[in-house]
Amino acid sequence: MTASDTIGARLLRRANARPDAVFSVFHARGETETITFGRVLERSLRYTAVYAKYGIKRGDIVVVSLKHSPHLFYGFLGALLAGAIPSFMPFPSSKQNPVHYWRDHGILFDRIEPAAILTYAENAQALAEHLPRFSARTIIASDALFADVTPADAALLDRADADDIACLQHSSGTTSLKKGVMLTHRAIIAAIESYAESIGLTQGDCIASWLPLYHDMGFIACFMTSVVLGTRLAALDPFEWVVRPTSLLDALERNRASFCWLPNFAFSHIVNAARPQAHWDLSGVRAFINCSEPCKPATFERFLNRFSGSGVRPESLHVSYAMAENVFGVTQTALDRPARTMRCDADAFASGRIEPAQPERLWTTHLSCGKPIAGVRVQITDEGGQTLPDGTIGEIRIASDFLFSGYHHLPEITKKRLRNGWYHTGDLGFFLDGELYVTGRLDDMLVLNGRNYYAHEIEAIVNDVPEVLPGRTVALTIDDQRTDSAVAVVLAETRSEPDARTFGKAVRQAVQERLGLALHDVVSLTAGSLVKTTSGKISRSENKALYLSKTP
Amino acid sequence: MTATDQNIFDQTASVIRAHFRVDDRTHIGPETSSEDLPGWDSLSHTLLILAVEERFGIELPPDRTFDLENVGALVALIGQTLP
Repeated sequence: MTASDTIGARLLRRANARPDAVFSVFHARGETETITFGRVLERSLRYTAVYAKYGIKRGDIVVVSLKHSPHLFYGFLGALLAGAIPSFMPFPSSKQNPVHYWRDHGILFDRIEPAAILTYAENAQALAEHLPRFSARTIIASDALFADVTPADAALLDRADADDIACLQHSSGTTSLKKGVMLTHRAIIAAIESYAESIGLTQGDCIASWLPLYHDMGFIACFMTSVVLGTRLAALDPFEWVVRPTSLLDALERNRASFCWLPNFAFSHIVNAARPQAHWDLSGVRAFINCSEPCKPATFERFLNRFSGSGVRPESLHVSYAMAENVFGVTQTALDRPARTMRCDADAFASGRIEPAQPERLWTTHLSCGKPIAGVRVQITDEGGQTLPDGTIGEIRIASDFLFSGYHHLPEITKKRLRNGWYHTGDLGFFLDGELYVTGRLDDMLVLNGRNYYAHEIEAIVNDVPEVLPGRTVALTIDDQRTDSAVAVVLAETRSEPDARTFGKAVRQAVQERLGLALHDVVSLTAGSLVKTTSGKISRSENKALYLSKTP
Repeated sequence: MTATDQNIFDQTASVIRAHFRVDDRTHIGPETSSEDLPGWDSLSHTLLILAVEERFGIELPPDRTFDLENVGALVALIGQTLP
């Protein structure tokens, strides 16, 4: 790899060598648009020209916040070609309160200082209303933008260097606390090449995805991989997928796709929505890769049972442990055999040790996330930072050839998480026979439908609901049997006994408006009902047991 | 509400009760929305729509089922879709 090997350079090279090769088959609202490499480059260079008109320079930050449209590709790549630093961000949902949404974005924008915000007309209008100080920086994405601009001349671009920051990936937390993961061109290209090698992914492959591009799975594994390696991307609208989950199977079949990444809940959502007689030919799919949520063996079993008649085999179901801080993949199960499942003794597991399950005793099962991919080292450590032996649960830390360059404008958090070349993930897990198993979190992060929320953020919002006793709230997750997904439940001590329905609605609305998260259940309790630890903190695990014991 | 509308509403309410496992004491009216019933998130909403489609033998337009405001809007959409 050379100093001039950047993502933009890869795009230019591919589009010039094979302009008619398909970059993406874009599905939206029942229509399909085929986008070639030549077209994606031409449209992106038009955006580069638009950004130049707006005075965007090399190193400037460009926020891209768009609904499902090819402008997501063009606007992002156009910024990259200009040497700017693009960052995908989600757009507000109809249920979020605009006042909170824009106040949080104001804090975030003040920190990252975007030079441009590429968005759609309706959102630009809301931004002008709520954040007038950023209004002059909005650019409305539409084909009308291209009418009077000619594509920028590729030969005259202020090209980035491979060690420049290519983009920011905004990760977990409520908007104002979001951390912008800084990734260089060199890191992104090296990570994609190493990950592709671990699964045998090459230029001839097609990836089908409904994943949003502001999430690392959709962004790196699907979109960036197509630019860097020249794979084909069948792209679906995330919102259309939620409503018609089997549309992904249609896309896999129609495009003869060979790879697909999904969070655990999505496997179940597809099984639950597939009509009993429906059949697909999925024999061409080499791997369905479960990623970004705790992966459950039972979910794989259900998926296999439902779709074995459609060509899904045990060895087509895989697991990857991935994170934005390592660009994407950290570990990956081997594609030539089914992912390993470990059945452990439940008591030993509860005390942090892995022992084989014994007859007549309780056991738990865990899916392997596979081995570290080339260029990545993974260790399990105790609280003091000492490496732990195989079969012992501890914090997962990683060092790699393509680790992130820190969190943008957040030196304190960077120093805490990135020490002596090791990224401290906050995830818990263990090693066995060279394979990593992920078991939970060190902090109070809750993973819900592939997105991360912190329990203390949910609790702070619930605290502000008038009937709630200050500090007497706990947010936790349980497994919802019906959807086979983790869901959030809130228990709150209240002043008097409020009407359950009105109170539940007030709490649900408050959390929905701030975080866009639908709570599964809200329970009001009398003062003193929540279980505390000996140190006086509200215990998440014991209150979860309390909740489960009272729920039919 | 016409007799047909009432019939669509009653059938829809019964699908909702079964889907979210709520008993007859919980009020369900045209104004009932996702925030009123435990467990009504975007995933279970999709499964509810599938159950409704099954009950009425219809397919609802996907782009109109996502942002339905309340049960009344769902009933109206079913009414428009029924042959």
